[in-house]
Amino acid sequence: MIDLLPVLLINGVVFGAIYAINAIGIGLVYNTTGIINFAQGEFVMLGGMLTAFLYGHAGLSLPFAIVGGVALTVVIGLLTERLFIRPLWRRGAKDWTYVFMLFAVATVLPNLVMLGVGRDPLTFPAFGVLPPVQLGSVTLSSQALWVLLVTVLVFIALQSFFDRTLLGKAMKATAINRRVAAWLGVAVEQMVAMSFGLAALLGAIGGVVFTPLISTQFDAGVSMTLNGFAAAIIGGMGNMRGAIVGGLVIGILQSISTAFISSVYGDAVTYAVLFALLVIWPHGLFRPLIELKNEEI
Amino acid sequence: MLEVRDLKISYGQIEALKNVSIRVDRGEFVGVIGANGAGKTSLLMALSGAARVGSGSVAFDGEDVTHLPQHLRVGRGIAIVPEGRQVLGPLSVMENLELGAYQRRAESRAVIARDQEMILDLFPILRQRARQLAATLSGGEQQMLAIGRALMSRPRLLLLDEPSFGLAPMVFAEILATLRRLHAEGLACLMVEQDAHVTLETTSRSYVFRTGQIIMEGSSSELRQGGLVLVEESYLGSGEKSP
Amino acid sequence: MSWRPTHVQSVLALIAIAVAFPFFGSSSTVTVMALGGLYAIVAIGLNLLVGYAGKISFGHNAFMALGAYTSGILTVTYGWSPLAAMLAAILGTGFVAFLIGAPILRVRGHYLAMITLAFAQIIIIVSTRWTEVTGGLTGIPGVPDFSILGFAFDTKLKMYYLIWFVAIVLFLLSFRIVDSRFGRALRALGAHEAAAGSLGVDVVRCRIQIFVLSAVYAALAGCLYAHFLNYVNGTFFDLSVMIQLMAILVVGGIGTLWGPLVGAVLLVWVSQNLGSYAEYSQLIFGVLYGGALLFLPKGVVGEIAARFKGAGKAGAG
Repeated sequence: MIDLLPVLLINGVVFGAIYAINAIGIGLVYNTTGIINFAQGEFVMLGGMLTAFLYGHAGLSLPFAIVGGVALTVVIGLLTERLFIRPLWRRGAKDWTYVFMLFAVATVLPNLVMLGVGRDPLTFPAFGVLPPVQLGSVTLSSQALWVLLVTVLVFIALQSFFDRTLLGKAMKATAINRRVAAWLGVAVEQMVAMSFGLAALLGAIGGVVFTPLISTQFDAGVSMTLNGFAAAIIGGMGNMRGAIVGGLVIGILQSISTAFISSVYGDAVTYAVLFALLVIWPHGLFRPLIELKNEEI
Repeated sequence: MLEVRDLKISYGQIEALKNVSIRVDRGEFVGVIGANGAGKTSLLMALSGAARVGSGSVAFDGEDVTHLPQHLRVGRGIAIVPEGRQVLGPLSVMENLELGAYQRRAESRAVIARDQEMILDLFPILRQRARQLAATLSGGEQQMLAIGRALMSRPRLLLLDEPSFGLAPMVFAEILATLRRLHAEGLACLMVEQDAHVTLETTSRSYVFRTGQIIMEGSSSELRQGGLVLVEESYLGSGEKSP
Repeated sequence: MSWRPTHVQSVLALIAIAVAFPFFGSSSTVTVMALGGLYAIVAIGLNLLVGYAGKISFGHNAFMALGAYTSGILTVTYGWSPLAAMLAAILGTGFVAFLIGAPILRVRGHYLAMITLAFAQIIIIVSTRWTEVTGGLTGIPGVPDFSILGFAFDTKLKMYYLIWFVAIVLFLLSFRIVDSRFGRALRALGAHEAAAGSLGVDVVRCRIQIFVLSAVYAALAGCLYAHFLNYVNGTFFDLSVMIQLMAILVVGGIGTLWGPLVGAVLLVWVSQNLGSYAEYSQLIFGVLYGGALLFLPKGVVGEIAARFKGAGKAGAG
C-alpha cells in the first residue's frame, strides 16, 4: 500500500491544482461582491466542453479550439453577471436571491450543454510539447505537467495583477471597502462584472488544461464547485496562497480516500470534510484576505 | 460653488434631514456642528452620493448632482474624508494614496507620483510609513492618510466627517493646522464636527444642526461670541465645556 | 380587515377543488397531482425556513430521502407497520436535522447554502452506493401500501386524498404558526438576526426549531412518496428535486402562505404538459425560477397580494 503513496500524492497534487484555481475564482467573486459563485464549477465544465466541441465537432485545430473555448466561457461568465446578477444588484436584492439565482444558472447551463451535445463525456487530446517527467518511481504525464505549469503561471499572473496594476488594486479596494472604493471613483458595478469575468476565465483555463486527463461531461460542474469551495474555506476566502494549500489538501484527501475507501465515495469524503470544516472553522483555517464587512450600501 | 436646497432624506420612517439648505462658496471653510443623530453625517452622505435623496437638490458649480452616482462625484471635484477614516487597511500608505488618484488614472504616472510626494511633504510622518500597511498606522496617522488620499484627487471641495473622532486633541490640532494651510491655498472645505469649539475657531461660517434641521447659521465668530451658550444648550454633545 | 370572509372562502374553495379534482382528471393526472401535493408538503416547511426565518437550505431533498429510506427499510426489511415506520422516519430525520442544524445554522447565508448542498450530496451518494442497507442503485422495491389501523391506502386515488389531506392540514397549520409567538420570532430572525437577539428572541433555539420542523415536513413527504410508489430509490431525491422545490418556492412566492401551494400546483401543471419535452424539465424549471427571481420577485401570490393592496385600500400607517 505504501508504495502507492507517491502516485496518490502526485495525483492529488494535480487534481488539487484545479481545485485551487477554482478556489481563487470563488474567493475573488466573494471578496468583491459578497456572493458565492455557485456557477464556478460550470465555468470549468464549459471551458472543457466548449473546447472539446470546437475541436471535435467544429474541426478547429487544438490551439484555436482552446482559445475559442476559453473566450466563449468568459463571455458566458460576463453575460451571467450582466443579465442575472446586475439587475438583482441594482435593486438591492437580499442574500438568498443571489444564491438562488446562481443555482438556477448552475442548473440551466449544464442542461443546455446536455441538450446540445448529449450526456456522454467529451475530451480532446493532450497538448503534447512538454515531455513526461520521472519523479522517483512515479511518472508525471505531459498533461499533468501542463496542469501544474499553467496553475503556477496563473498564480503569478494574478499576483502581479493585484499587486502591481492599478486596476487590480482597485479591485482589491472594492473588496476591502465598497463604499470607499466608490468614493475614490471606482465603478463598483464594473468591478463586479470583472470579478465574474475573471472567475470564468480561471475556471475555463482549469477546465481546458484538465479535460485531456479525465474528460468532462455536462454534470461535472457541481462537484467542481463544492471542491473549489472546500479549498477556499481551508485557505481562507480570497487568500491566494491559502487557495493553493486548500486545493492541495482537498486533492490529496480525495486521492487517498478514492484509493483506500472506494472510488465512488471519494467525493462524499470531501463533502464530509467541507461540512466538518465549516462547522468548526466557519472562516477558514487561514485568515481570509479581507475581513468581510457586513455593511451594505 | 456648492448649493444645497431643501434637502430631505429619510431612512424608512425616520426623517434624517428635513428641508436643509446650505451653501459653500469657493475657497470657504464651512463648519457643521450638532449632537449625534442631528443629521450631520446624513448631509455628507447625500453630498457624497451614498444616501438616496428624498427631495431637494444639490448643485455643484451649477451642475445638478443630486442623483449623481457615487463613483462619479470625485471626478466633479468633491472628495470625502469619511467618518472613522476608513483607510484601506491591507494596502500600503503609498497604495492608498495611489488609489486616491484613481479617477485621474489617465494622467501620467510621473504626475501622480509627484502628488504623492506632495502629500508626504504635507504629512511628514506618512513618509516614514510609506511602505507600511495602512492598518498598522495610529489613529492620527490614518486620519492624515485619509485626508491625503482625498487630496490626491485634486478636489475643489473637501468633505470631512468628524475628523476629530478618536484623536487626542493635540493630534487633531496638528491636522487642523494642515487643513487651514490647505484652505489658505484655496481649497474649500465642509467640515462636520462634534467639537463645536474647535470648529467655530477654524471655520469662517457654520451651521448648527439639531434633529435633521438647521437651527442656527452665520459667521463662526458671531456664533462663538454671542451664541456659543445657546449653541451649547442646543445640543448635549459638547462634553468638555459644561460646568 | 375585510379579508376574513374571502380568506375562509379561498380555503373552502381549495378543499372543494382538491376533493373534486379526481372526478375531472384522468388517473395519470391524479398521480401527477398527488406528486404535486408531496412537493407542496415539503415546500410549506421549506418556505417557513427560507421565507420567514431567512435561512437557505439546499439540502431538503436529503431529508426527503432519509424519510423515504427509513420508512422503506423498516417496512420491507423489518416488517414494521407503515404508521409506526412513518413515525420513526419523522422522528429519526428530525433528530438528524437537530444534530446537524445546531452547528451549521451559525454559518452565514451563502455558506449555509453550500454546506446544506454538501450534506445533501453526501446523503445521495451514500444512499445510492450503500448497497447492503439501501439497495444501492436498485433501491428498495416492494414497499407496502400505507395503512392506518388496518385501513389500506391501496390505490393511487386513496393516496392522492391522503397526501392532499396532509398538505392542506399543514397548510392551515402554517397560518397558525406564522401568527403565533414562534412565528413572530421567525420573522424577527429573518429580518435581522442580530437585532432579533436583542429583542429577546432565543435565536439559537428558534433557528433549530424551524430547521427541524421543515426537515420533518420533508421526511413526511418522503415517507408518503415511498408508499405512493411502493419503491424507494435515492436517485428520486437528487439535486433535480431541489431545483423543483426552489422553482415552487420562488414562482409561488417565498414568504407568502399560499405561495408553496400555488407554486406546487403550477409547476406540476407545467411538468404534466411537457409531454415529449420531458428532457427539458430541469432546464425549464431553472429558467422559470431564474425568470421569477428577475421579474416576479414576490412570486405569483406575492404579486397578486401587492396588486390588491395597491388597488384602493387605505394605507395603514
